[in-house]
Amino acid sequence: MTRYVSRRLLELVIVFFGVTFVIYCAVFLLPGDPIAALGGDRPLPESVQKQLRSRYGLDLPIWQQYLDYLGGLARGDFGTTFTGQSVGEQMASRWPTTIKLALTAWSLTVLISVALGLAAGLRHGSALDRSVLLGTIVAESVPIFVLGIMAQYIVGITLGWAPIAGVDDGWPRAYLLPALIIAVYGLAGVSRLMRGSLVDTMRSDFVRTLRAKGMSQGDVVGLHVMRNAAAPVVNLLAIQLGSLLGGTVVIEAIFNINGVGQLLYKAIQDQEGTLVVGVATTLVFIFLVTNLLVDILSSVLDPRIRHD
Amino acid sequence: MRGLLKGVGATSVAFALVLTGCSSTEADGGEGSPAELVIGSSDPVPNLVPGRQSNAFGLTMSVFSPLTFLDAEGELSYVAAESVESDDQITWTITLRDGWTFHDGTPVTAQDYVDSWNTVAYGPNAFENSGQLAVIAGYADLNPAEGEPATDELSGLAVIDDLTFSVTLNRADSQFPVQLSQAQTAFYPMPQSAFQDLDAYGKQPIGNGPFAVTTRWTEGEPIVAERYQDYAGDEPTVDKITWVPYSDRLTAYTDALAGNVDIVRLPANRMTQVADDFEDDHIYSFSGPAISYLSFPYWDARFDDVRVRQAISMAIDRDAINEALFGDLNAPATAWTPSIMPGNPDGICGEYCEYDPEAAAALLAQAGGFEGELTIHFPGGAGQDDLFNAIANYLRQNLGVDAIARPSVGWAEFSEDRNNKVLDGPFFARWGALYPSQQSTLRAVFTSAAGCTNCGGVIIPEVEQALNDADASDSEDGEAYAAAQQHLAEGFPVVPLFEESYNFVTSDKVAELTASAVGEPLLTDVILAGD
Amino acid sequence: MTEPATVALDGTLDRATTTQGLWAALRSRVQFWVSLALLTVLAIIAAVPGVLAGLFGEGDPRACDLTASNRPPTSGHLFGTDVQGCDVLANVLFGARTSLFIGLATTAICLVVAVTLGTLAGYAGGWLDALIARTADVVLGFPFLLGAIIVLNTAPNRSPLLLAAVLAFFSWPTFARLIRSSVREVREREFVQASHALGLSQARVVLTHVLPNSLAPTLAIAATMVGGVIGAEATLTFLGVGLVPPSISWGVQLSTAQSYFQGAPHTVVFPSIFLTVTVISLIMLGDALRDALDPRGRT
Repeated sequence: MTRYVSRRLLELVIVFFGVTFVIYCAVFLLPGDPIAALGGDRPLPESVQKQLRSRYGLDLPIWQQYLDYLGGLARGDFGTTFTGQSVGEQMASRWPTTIKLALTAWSLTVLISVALGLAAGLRHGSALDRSVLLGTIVAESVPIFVLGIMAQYIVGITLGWAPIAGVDDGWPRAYLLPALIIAVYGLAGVSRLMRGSLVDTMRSDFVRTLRAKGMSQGDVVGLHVMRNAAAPVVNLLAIQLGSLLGGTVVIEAIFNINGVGQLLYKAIQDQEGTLVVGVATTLVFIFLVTNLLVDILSSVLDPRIRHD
Repeated sequence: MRGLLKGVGATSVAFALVLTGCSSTEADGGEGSPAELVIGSSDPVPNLVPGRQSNAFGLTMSVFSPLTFLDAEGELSYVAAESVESDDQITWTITLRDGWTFHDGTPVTAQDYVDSWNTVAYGPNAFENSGQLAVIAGYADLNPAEGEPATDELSGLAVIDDLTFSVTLNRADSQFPVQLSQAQTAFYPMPQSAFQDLDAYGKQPIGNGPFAVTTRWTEGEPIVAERYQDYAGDEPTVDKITWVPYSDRLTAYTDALAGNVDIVRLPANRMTQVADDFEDDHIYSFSGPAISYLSFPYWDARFDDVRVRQAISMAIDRDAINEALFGDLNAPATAWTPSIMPGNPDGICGEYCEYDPEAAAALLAQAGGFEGELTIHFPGGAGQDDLFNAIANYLRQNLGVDAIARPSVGWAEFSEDRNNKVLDGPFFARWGALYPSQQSTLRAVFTSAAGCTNCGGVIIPEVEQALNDADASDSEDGEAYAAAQQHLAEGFPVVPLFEESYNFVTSDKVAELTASAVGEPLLTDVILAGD
Repeated sequence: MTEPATVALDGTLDRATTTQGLWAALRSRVQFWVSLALLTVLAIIAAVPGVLAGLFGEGDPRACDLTASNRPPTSGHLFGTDVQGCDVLANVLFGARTSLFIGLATTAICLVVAVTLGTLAGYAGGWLDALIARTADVVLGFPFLLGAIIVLNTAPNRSPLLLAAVLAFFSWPTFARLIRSSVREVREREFVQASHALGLSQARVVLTHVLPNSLAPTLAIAATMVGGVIGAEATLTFLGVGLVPPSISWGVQLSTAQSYFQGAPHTVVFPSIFLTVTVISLIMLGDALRDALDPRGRT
């Protein structure tokens, strides 16, 4: 196990450098001139643009820019945006918001889909089962922005049940509605897995044996089904982290949540290279670490998956 | 594992409780003392140094007071300045009013103005608004094409005494007093303390205006300004203003619908909806000094014939677009500058700005038709899609050309392609003037002066000459600039589209918004309900 | 119902995976026929949208009259008009072609890549597994939006095929990982071990035992994917990097209409209905296939 973890950590470092370099190049290869665009439709004087280009090293070759960036990173400096703001500061003020949103959404996905999956699996083949299967899929097929805008309008404005913009109301009030929308897009996968696992397990010989021995349905579900389902569910949830963070981009925009999703989206539009690389790198890092943890966790949950 | 299941059940109950908790409490509406305003600001605020801000006009105009002020009728009055005078339109003498102080208590002096303007104009500082000072003699020395500037002082500025200084311009410019008005924020004064740490100053500017910023600005957090007790000018009508940042105008608007914010800008894609969402007296539409154009790639020979450009102009039904997409809040353009500009030659575009599909098709046929695909370019992500799709539809259906509208990723891609002349079809152009004078728009778009690069088509020498003549004249009614537009009407380098209005919606707390000549409402003059 | 291990050993498992067995299992299912009927209708719409739209009024989705913008349904325009004054019905019908194409093409590309790589990784293990797993990590970890914007903007034309390829490029790792973990799980089962013991070749074991057993859960989720992809296409458009007019798709319609949904709900409702029906019928087909492929799912 120790060998496995250390090997994965080494791989993680390689992937980390690979991804940051790819992102770095990609951002700087994007069509467009970020400095020329700083003034929008009221352009900056030529001399100002020239000054800014040399200040931010845009006149240097790309490998040198990347090395300078890595050098700054090693000193804990994420660099500054073209408008002179510290990237580190911006991320520090925004990451907590997005993490809260993502974790809330994640928890909601787990709670709701485990409940739905169990309900559907226990009444396998019933109308309830079918409506769970269909309902989660139909909800997922509606584009996230359509669902988000409608929920905002109906729940937030017409009914007035939840704040519709910003997070000033704090957790959980301000986070529930946006998190719920994001969670909807994870329900189908997880509840299906849960249901499938339940149905399979309930049919297996050893469960029939257990039940024949007089074990109650609740115990069977609790003991065996949950254990069998745990590994794939955790796996799927880890995979969904990526789409979860993607969902935050749209939802943060609609609900005016100042998180990294918004930051990244705006940064891409404005071609704020250092900002994009900073946010993207932390995103990739979180993703990789989560995946490592999940792989370790799933081998603990399911001894059949061995890492050797 | 039984424990786990129970845990799940318990958390679900907790979740349900939270949900019902939500439903039982009403969203809180207006609160607090009536003299407070909450403004939804949806544009990023990277830096609040007046020489650098480009999106925080409302805030800068509240925290600072301009030398001169233009009201909604275009009348010039003096605020921080007692007078701005010149005999030759080249050398101007500015006399400040006595008794004015910055928020840190120091008096506002002529030296502060000179130091501030030098700082803004100094090339290596790379201040975004430095171009506003380009008219002052010595600007070029501070912004050399190559290398570091040899001086950090504008040669055109000279302090005469504590309250008087003189400004020498590069050449005669009758509009200089107008240029000193409220939206040209590069002309605002900064106290001596600002120059020691401009970055810190950019987060909490100290101004000479009716409101003082009370908190250091942090990314994503509201900015608060409170009434400055020792303000020497007219008393503001409110005590406290809070600017709440929003990710975009639509989000701010939505929050205004829920009653959480007092004044927000109306987003373009709610212009047709706003009449249903808000009461009539909560909607304000101020004519702005902004105009939009459809510009042509003059590097593409297909658009060389003036008849092609005129035909395209005539094929667009501006009235229908205004009604369907803008809720009739904008106005079809009839000249190359908006009618709010003093002396604007309204209607000079004539029949070519009126919708006539048959005449347009005939004119295009006369010019030999149009070859190939006609791609209209516009910056994406700015809510312009419907407008340019509508224009493409008109060109396709009325002129029989294969017209499509293509958005770019954002400004970065669009401006680079425009500056480098790689756009292969008509494209979006717009000029929002910071002072209401035809000079501002015409100079920026249609001359070789640094402004909107390649926006105005091939530079027509007669236009530049007519502008220079008008600059040197001492007439104040702006009629002198109309001559330049006559040349534009003949050369037809770009299609005028719409005069823009700057639109706002307000909460019940606001009884009346006052317009100013630059389209922004005067936050210091907002009349609150119940006052 | 029989236990998988025993089935495998006596060869009956393979019955369901043969065409004949599959067909037998499918044709008795109502939901198979319903979904097939719905998909046939959609396929016809996608094939001749203009003719069908013409039957109901305006046949040209690009014949627009701005003065009749956002009008509710009337006799000439059964689904009303959109903000540009174009016929919503014609646009919905023409949009079916693009949206279906993107949904199916993305899923197909994605599955081919994922099944190949996932099976390789799961069955072979070792360095190949590590390489594929890490590649998947990089792709998954790479922010989708950023990747999509870069690819979609460096390309001169955003065609539906390009969009499908980009969507597939960022989706395959999810499936590859699912297939990999289920392949690994199947590999450990007694019947596979037994097949090895019986001296069957690696390839044979993979193709006849490991793959069919791993495919079922994957297909179940792949079916859910088609709808997600059609929705994702719309979201990309909403974010400004998806298809743009003159392309006609449900995504383009929805992202334009969302600004006006209060005043002109019909412009959102009709494309949404078509999108939802398409997704539901694909899901029903997927479920039917899954149950037929997986003998354990039968009752």
